[in-house]
Amino acid sequence: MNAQTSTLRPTPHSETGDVILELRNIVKRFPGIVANDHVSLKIRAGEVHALLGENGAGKSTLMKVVYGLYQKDEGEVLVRNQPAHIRVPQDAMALGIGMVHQHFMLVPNFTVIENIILGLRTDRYPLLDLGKSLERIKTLADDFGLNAPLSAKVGGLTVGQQQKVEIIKALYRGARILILDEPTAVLIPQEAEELFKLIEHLRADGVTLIFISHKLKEVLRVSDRITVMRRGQLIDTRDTTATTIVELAELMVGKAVDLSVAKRPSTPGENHLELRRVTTRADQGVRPLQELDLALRSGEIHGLAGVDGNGQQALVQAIMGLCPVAGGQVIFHGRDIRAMETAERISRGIEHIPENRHTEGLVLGLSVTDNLLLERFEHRPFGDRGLRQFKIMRAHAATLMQKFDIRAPNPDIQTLKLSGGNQQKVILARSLWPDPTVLIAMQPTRGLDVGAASFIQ
Amino acid sequence: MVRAWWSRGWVRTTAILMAALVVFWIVLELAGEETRNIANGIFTILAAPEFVKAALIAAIPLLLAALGGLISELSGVLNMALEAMMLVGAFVAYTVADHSGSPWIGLLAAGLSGLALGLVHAVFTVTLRANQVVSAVALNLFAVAATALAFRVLYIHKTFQPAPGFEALHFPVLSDLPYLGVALFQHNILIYLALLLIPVMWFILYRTSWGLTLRSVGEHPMAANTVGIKVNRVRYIAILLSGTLVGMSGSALVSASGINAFQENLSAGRGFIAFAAVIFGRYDPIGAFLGTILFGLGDALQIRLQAYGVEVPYQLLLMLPYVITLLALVVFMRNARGPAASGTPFVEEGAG
Ligand SMILES: Nc1ncnc2c1ncn2[C@@H]1O[C@H](COP(=O)(O)OP(=O)(O)O)[C@@H](O)[C@H]1O
Ligand SMILES: [Mg+2]
Repeated sequence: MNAQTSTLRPTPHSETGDVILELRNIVKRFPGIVANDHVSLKIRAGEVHALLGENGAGKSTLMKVVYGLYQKDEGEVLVRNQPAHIRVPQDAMALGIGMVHQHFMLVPNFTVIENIILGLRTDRYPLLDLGKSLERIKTLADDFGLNAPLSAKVGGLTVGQQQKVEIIKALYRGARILILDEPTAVLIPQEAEELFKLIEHLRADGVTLIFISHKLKEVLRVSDRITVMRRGQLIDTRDTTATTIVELAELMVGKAVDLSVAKRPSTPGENHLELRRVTTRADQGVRPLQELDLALRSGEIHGLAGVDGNGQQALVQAIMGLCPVAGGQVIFHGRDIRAMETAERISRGIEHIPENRHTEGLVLGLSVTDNLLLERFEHRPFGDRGLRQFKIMRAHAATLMQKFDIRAPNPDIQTLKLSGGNQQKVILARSLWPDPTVLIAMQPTRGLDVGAASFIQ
Repeated sequence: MVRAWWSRGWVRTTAILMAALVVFWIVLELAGEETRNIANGIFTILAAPEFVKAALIAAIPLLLAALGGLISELSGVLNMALEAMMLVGAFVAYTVADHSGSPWIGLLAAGLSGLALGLVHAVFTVTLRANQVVSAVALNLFAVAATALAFRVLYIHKTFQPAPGFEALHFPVLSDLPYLGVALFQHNILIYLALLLIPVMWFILYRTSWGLTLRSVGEHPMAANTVGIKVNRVRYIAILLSGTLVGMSGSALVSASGINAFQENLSAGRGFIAFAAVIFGRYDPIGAFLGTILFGLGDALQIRLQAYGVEVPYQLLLMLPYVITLLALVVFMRNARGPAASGTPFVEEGAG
């Protein structure tokens, strides 16, 4: 890995060194949490500066302060050694700061051009007529290899293309300091590769880049310097050449970590679940499956990679019986289950951890107990002839909370009052407790790895 | 296969129309001499230029209201208060024209009254982030009661009198054309202004920076915010403009009555039809026009059927334009996709 890293990372520019952006003691508080706790940071002109930290470390918040989306509570921002008063994004843009957000800020229903010029004075203002600026947009698009027509609707582009539109949009507005917030989180490996090249390209053009990530390897790969954040505080800044992946992991988490994942070799057995030439219809708002073959064997962890929107959703829906299968067979233990109700599939041991715990996995307004029993509250022993057995339910919930280390004051508390991690554990406990034969986990580590994975016990 | 074909709009339209014609023809063949005579009479009525003229006159108030509604809707704020703004606008237009003697001052005042209602709606929905539907319902209820009360107080002792209205125009050659002259070129100025507004609105929405800004705020306010657009300011402007236009639609409604008169609940649900026309017209000025002209045609037909003495309770005939419009809109203009952020107030990130 190291050999590859060093060939792709060019030596730093000679003109780096001047501080172009300086943060002094930035404090940003949200109700109940200090998201940025006296953060001081110097970014040098022309460098690729990585901001590394776990989810919730405060990286996005810090950059949103710089971009004028959040108002800081304390501290100072200096751009090119001048105190900068950034109250709205326009102030930041005027200072040459651009930001590509974690969730793209593009209007899907608008064309590439419309997104790029949105909010700007056009050449022939107030007409949308672009005049000479069109040439500049074209040049930028060619330069950065946006192989999509400028008149295409952004919603129809791939995630990688959308990201390029965001970058072009920032550059078109004159960005010389470009903040990329978790740019690789949504990309497949090839697209990430392309992004790294693009970053080199920008760097060669003298653009200063702030690259936010929580992935150690890519940070080592693209950056000149790395700043680590943890729980709202800035831990340290290192030269990329003078640090290691182990050291960074330790700084990031705050304790020594073992990066090798303990994984026993599995002994795959017979086929548990088999999809044979499965095809689904396109009218569900998700990309359909086309004659998909897939066999999951017992004891195997079957990883499924791919960027969102390439059919994972349809796959899960087909397996769980959430949408009709138009062609092919879904075989579970030798039996075609296409006609089987979802509830029945669950009771026979197919479990599903949904992608979005807020919209699909949990009813946040209900108690932890209710959520833990969401799939079987009407069955014995939790329900008896339509009456719910609260004592049994609560005892069951307490057991699960202990077993899965769900931290909540009591089982009756509303699920929305739990932290995100504990909410995730509620879903996990619900899915694992019945000892399923097949477990489908969509993005189980949320943001850590792209794709969905199927675990089979 | 059949499904795929059926889903194509024009295939469906043609098929339905042809089926309707066949059924109609069979019914005529089966019916007796008398029915055939009635049918002939109705055909004669429909073929007259006055039919188109009446339809246009009836459609214009809805068109203005729909265009107003469209601006607000595109900015992401539902304006279900079209009915209220139209009714209040009509009352103000009538009263002010009556007292000032000028329909133009009446029109202006109607616009201002709509603007005032728009301001109320904007304060509730944008600043206070109240539910947009609830705010509109409140305004609608208020408008019915307030106009009825004010009308009774102001006019109870007076004998009825029409207010001064807009004169019909006469164009040199055009107005004397056969058929077209009567149908299209003998209207009052308001009607031409309203029709002109269709391309003007289209141009502003799709060919100017401001139109792009407006639509971005309705589609993805957060994205608009990140490029420095003041989302709530744009929404305020949109709602105020919307209110002004819809208020003016009230003036068109008074003049559409033919005798420039007001009566309680004059709008009679037309604001809601205009609201539907915006949605089913796919959030497009031309679509909105098609929806409202349909209503006009239904209205003109209904009046003629009443006058012709068709033996149907007149209340049923009164329903006709509403039913025709809604049916046609639902059948032919389904799958309209509105602004993505429609109905949701904008809260700036990290504002708390
Ligand atoms: N708008 C907000 N309102 C309240 N809390 C927030 C808001 N944005 C971020 N936070 C909190 O601030 C902390 C830091 O979040 P963030 O900056 O997004 O982390 P990172 O980008 O490093 O993953 C988290 O605990 C998060 O819950
Ligand atoms: Mg973040």
